[in-house]
Amino acid sequence: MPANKKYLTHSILQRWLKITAGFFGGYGVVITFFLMLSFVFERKNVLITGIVIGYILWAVLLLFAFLAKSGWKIWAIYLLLIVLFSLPYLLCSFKLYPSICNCASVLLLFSYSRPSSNPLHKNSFDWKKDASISISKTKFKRILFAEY
Amino acid sequence: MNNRNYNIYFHTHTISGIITAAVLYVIFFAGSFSFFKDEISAWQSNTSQMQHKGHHFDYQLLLDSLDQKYDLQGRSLLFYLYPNSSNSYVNMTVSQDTVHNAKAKETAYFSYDFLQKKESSYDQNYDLGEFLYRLHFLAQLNQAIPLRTGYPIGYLIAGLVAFLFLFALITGLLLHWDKLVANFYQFRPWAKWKTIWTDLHTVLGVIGFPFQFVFAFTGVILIVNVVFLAPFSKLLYQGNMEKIYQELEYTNDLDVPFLYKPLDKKIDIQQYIDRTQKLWPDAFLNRITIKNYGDESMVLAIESEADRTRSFAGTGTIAYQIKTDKVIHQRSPYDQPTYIAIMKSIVYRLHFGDYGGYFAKIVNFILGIMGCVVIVSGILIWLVARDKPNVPAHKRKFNFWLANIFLAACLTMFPVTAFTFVVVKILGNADRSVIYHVYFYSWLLLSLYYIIRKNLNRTNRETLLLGTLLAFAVPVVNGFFANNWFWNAWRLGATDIFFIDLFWLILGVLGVISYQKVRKRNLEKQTK
Repeated sequence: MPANKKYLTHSILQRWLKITAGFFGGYGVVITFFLMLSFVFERKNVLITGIVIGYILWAVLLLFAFLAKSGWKIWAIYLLLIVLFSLPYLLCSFKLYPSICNCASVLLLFSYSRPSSNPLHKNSFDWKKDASISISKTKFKRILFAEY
Repeated sequence: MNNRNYNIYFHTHTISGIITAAVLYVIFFAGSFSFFKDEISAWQSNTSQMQHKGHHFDYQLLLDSLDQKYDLQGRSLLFYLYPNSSNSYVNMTVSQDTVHNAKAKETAYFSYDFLQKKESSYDQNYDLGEFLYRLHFLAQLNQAIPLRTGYPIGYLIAGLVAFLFLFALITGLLLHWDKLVANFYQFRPWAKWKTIWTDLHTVLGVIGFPFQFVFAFTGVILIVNVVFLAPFSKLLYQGNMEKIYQELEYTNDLDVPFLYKPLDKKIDIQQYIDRTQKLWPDAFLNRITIKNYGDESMVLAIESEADRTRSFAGTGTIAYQIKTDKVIHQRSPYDQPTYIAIMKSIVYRLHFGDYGGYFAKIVNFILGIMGCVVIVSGILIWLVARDKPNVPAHKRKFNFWLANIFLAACLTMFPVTAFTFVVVKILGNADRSVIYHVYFYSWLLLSLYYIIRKNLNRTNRETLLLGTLLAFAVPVVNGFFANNWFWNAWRLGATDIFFIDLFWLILGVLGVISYQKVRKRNLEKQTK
């Protein structure tokens, strides 16, 4: 009992449109969605949240593309979403509406950063200020995979 | 559910499943064994880590011997340590001080065993635990396929397969959504073959769903988080990937300016390490960085993970300035962990299954092997559902050809793994190339044999029997060639070595039971 062919996409063009829309378009939607969020919440927290739920979101968007009636339509929807989600980034980087760049810093006040209760912190240096931090790519790979 | 959606779920589930089936089986099988990576390493090297728990690591001895061999003046050193292992990796950079250090240009990267006080290269130190662990994210393909993609090709394939698996899980769940509860109880082992495969696939798939889902999505994250992060590095960090990893607490390396003034003081690293361990009781010190050894700017940074029974996600760092003896930075692993640490810890703990001792690992192993059964039954459904008179002959031929190859490659993994355990023990010291040769060649030969035999039933029966016999051989060779008989290992408190023997023994017993069932079934079928 394979799936009933009656309900599946027969046109090769349509099929490819759906696959590419789901895979590449879906990827674009996920990335730009979190790009937009990074203008609202603290950037590193958005990134780690994105790592955790981004792939699931992507898989769901891939499925939506297959459920769509037309490949053109789903591409149009995903492209529209991509443009919409990247608006804050575009407005900021092309200086069309520069104050949006600072919007994040205002919201930062409300996000996850609270002073530590550890008294030892008070007479310690600021880790980030005092030591500019660098690591090579190969070293990072070694750390991750214990590899040459 | 409307008919159109149902059929779309069905079709996308089938296609994504059949594309990934063979690779996914390898990932699941090798991954299930990787839960016991440390135990397998202990088993192979005949050195139980359990016997030496809480053993004092002598850093001073190591540093002194390194100093004699390489001259540490002006260098930076990185120690990577692993829980349940006396083995560490040491990375030594060039020296910035070319005036006082004649060997300034030399670098070194090697593994060091704190128990045996012995240096060895990565290849020498490579063992079966490492092999199976790396096989489960296809690391061996990185060297096998000479394709430059900017990221190791094996990891990319593993990532893509894991992503498609995630997709197949979502479509599979939606497919069975309407009869989810009924599916729990729907196992009809005495019905006809196709029903059995279908039931097996559905029941085990539904029961194992949460487990498989967790492993699919944490797996994608662990292997290809670069796919998600790369665009952000371009857009928000001026292409600086290192900066992202820095911000997400993956790396924590300090760049301390070199002062070119030799430090006029005796350096006692051991004392700082002992001090840190006392400061954070039961925390595991997993990375130790020594920056600018012997220079006035010298800094010692220690990173740690909290005792997991006290803090689920805590990670700590401390940095000492050696000259002034001062703590220049500190975050205790027992402080409230950051949001990032919590998220990452969830991913790691869930995937590595290291939160509940042997119980959690064994449950994970069973669920992992159940995943293998779901995959194999999926392949068989795919074949049997298309084995009908109305399907054109050339298509049926192709379907059989594919299922034959997939099953031969998948099912031979069990005997091949057991075989490699046996050979490794008989040889005594097997390094990377030996393990590669034994595992991959025996796998190739055995799968080719079953591909040529073209009999799915036989493939299943014989690999099961062969694997079972070899499984029984594992504890026996461990007794004969290393004198680690069950009772010896148990008496010496080498529970990790004992565990691997017992584990194979149980696999053998289960193999016998399954083999009996399969054979009986086969005889019944023949008499009918």
